[in-house]
Amino acid sequence: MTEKKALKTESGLSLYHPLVSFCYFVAVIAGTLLFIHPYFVLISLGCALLCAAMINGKKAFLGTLGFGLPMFVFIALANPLFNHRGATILFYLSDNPVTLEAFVYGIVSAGMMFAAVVWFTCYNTVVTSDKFIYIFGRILPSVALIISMTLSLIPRLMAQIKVIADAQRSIGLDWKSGTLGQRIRSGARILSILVSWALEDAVITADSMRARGYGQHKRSTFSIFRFGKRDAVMMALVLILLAAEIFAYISGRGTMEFYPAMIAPKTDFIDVLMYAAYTALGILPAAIQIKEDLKWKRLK
Amino acid sequence: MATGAKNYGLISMVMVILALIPFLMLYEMKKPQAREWIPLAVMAAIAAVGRAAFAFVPHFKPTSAIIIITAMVFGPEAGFLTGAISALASNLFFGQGPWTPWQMFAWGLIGFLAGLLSKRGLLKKKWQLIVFGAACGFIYGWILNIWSGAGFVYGLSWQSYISLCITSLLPDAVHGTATVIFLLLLSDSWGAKLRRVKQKFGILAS
Repeated sequence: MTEKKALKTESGLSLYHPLVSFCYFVAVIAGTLLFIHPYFVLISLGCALLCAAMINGKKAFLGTLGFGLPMFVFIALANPLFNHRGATILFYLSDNPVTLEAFVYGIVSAGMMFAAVVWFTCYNTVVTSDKFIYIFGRILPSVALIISMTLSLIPRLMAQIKVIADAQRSIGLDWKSGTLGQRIRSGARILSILVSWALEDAVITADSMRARGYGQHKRSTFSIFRFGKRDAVMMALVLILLAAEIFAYISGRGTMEFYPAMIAPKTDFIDVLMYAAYTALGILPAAIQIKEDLKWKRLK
Repeated sequence: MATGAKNYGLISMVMVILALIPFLMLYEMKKPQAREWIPLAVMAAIAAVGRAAFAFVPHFKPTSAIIIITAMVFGPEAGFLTGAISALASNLFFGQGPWTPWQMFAWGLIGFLAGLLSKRGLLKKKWQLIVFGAACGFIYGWILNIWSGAGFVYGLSWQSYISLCITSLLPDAVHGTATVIFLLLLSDSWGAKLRRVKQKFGILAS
């Protein structure tokens, strides 16, 4: 990892306590999946894209769009084809009615899924695996430890696969050539060799861990996180906005009637307040980032 | 309660996360030693790497077969854990998303079932292994279809669920075939390797 990248990921929301950033994403993704409502979906998608563009870096952001936009189109089109409810029939497709309601619902739910995917990419940037394990290590220590071990094994196994594959190629068993059947057989052989190597290695690791006193005391984590005043303030803010979100859902403001006919969402003062609250939640990472960037510029 | 479109997306996601917890707690309560769980971490990592290595053939992945083999040697709880963790870990390559808990549950369940069946001596014969391996492609697909249905199509109904299952018939069949092929290719040799490690180091005696 280059220094520039390391600097980039460790800013804004990433600098808060893992519990704060984790709760933030739970709140914002729950809201995304909860509200089947054009305005909320629009807010969520807009904020997600803004946040992803700011914290994920340009390349990753374009990758997200490359994956997300086709998915958006697919879901938007799939819904009216699978779902024939709704009063306004646009046309018939092999005797099945395609309705306007299903079409609009498809666009809204596709936007919802797109937003959820984009939020998850932001989650991946902010809540790194060591933070995830830090949080879950308290509740499920053994499971968290296995996850942590698995994650550290994967790059090692990938490197070993390369070594094995090179050795296999040098004796004429290249998995990249031949028929599909041969390739699968070669691939399976490489994995087989990998298993023998990895299992021996793993048990030696286990014994080494025991020798160093694994399981004697409570485990410490690689990163040290302190829950400070700043975290408490941010946590309170996230929880208040989450409460607003739950209120909006329970009072029926977060959903819209699609079937049999669409009823345009009414917008009273409280609705506007709810949109504002959800926008505030969605825009939080971008706002923190901008605030920090401005501070940095001033100090320079 | 809210009127308008009911949201099955979040409800189903909360349910599947809740469904994961008892299995994980079951393992947690055993207070496993390092020697006992490290082979599981290895197998989960290999299952994840295998999924990435075979990404060049769509839906053709050795992951289910590797989970089944591990479960056959180490038992149902270990099978669930291996499956769930390999799903979580392999999504580092494929991207985490709302589908992650579903994949964790689906592969966990495959591991759990394989462990149970093998305990009863029901996966000893080749034909039993073939039937179970093929079925796994569909078990996995049908569990993930619940998510697709809940997430995309309003009012998860039997008709829309069945039509989703019909659409996914081909990918599920490819996955099932892959599982059978890898089980036939690997189960004997890997089973022997795992049993050897288990015996040599005295792991998970239960």
